[in-house]
Amino acid sequence: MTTQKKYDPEDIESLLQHKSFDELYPEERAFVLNHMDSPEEYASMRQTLLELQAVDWDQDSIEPRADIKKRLDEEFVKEKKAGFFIWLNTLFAQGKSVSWYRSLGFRVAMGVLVIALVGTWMATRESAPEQIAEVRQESPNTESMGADKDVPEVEPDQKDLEDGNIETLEDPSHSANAEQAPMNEQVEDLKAEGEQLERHDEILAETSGDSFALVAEDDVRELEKNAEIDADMAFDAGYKKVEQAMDLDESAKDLAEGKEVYRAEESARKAIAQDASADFTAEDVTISEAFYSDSVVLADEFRFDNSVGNSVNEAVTVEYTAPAAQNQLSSAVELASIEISGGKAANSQSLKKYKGLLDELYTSR
Amino acid sequence: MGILGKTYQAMTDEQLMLDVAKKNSKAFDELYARYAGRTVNYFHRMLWQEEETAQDFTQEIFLKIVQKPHLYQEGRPFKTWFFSIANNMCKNEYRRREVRKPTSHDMPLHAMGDTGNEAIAAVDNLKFNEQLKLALDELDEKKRAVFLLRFEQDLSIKEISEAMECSEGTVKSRLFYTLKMLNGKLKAYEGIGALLLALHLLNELL
Repeated sequence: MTTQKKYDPEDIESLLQHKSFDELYPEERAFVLNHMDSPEEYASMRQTLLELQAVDWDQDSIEPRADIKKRLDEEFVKEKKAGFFIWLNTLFAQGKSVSWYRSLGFRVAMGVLVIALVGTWMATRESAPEQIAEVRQESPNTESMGADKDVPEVEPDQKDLEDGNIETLEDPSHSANAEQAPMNEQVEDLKAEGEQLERHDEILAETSGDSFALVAEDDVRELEKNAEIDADMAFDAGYKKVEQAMDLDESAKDLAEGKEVYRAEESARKAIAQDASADFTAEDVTISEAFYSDSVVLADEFRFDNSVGNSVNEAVTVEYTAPAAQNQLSSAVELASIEISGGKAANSQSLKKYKGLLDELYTSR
Repeated sequence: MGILGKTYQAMTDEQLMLDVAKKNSKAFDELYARYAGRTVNYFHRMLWQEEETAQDFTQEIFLKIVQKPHLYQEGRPFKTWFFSIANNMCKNEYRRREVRKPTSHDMPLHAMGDTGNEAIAAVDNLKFNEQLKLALDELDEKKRAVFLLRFEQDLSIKEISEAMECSEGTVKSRLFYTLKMLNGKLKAYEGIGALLLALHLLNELL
């Protein structure tokens, strides 16, 4: 099991390239045979790989058309003439992508621009209080129009003016000066100025700041071009991401497919193994049965042979016993005859002895 | 030696590309000389052996380099960047056409890898390369691209993975299954392949 973890399926290519099947270690062989059907397939794939590595790709190659280079050279010149153009994202980069004099020039120009902008802003800021002072000096101007020293007392009515309550100014009870004509004129002027300021504020509120910028036509084109390029780059980047996502998806599918194939192969292998095992078991049983039946036959035969053997032995024994018995019988017969003859002789002797005794008896009597 | 003391032939692809970004025409000439031939052949094999299409695509990819050199990121290997663009162009073309155009000299599939007498007779006079091209036409575009980048363009597994923006494992896996498929289809031409291999080895020895 550990050998499986040592390899990825793709390592087979490396094995194919460097080793023949005979040169593989046992675990390498086991791994290879997990992905191929046989050592023959391995040898065949190895040959194919070596053949592919030896293919001469230049054999039937084609050449690029001559007009392509011409067209590209024209485009190159056109691009070169397009003008001095610096990519902002490369100016502050460390490296050799932009020449030092362009980078330095741009930095100096940027510095000058910043100083000019700050200077302008400062000057504008300093002039602003003066303008406010001028506005405030307008009421003392009434002195030049012949107003009394009491004129400043009119100031509380300035609020009325701002509120649009002009009549209060026209009321003699509120006036410190009898000469109303110049005053009315001044009021009208102030009113007009106030309205103008209000309109101006409205316009400012309704209009975006960019509209007031004075942009040269060339700058607009430049901005448009930059925007177009930025959009192009953004599109490329977006497209690239989509491509990457699709590739990932494909890889996942490939992986899933590969796993499915591997799983199917595994199942097939297991099924085959089970089948083979079943076959083997069946065969084993058959062999066992055969052996059993053979054994039975052999046992029977043995038993038969044994019985036969016993009979033979008995026969042999009989055969061997018979002569002995015969001999014994003969001896017995012989002994019997001897005994008989001895008895007869003894009987004869005994008879003779009896007769002798009888004779002696009868002689004596 | 150039006017400014530069030897463009000795420069790396990456250095040349940076010079192209600075509108150096000599750098562009050298880059074109290095890549134009292999590019047109790559497109030719990737795009159904259509020579006109391959020529147009070659012009287009170099136009991109001329017009948008800033898209090249300093530090990235030029070769992988270049072939990633080429590969994306092919993908777009596949999508555009959707249905694959049959080649003029397509061979019936049943003859491929068939070891019967008819197949042997049919391929007897055909070259291994031509059969390989036909077999490559049968591959899906990703496997074909991986195969060509590996065996025709001599890119490493790592370079291919960068060019195709996928993992090295995916590249190896695709190569293995492609090899397995080709093995099945090119069995009938093993003799010719072996002969080519022998010639190649002999050539190397000499």
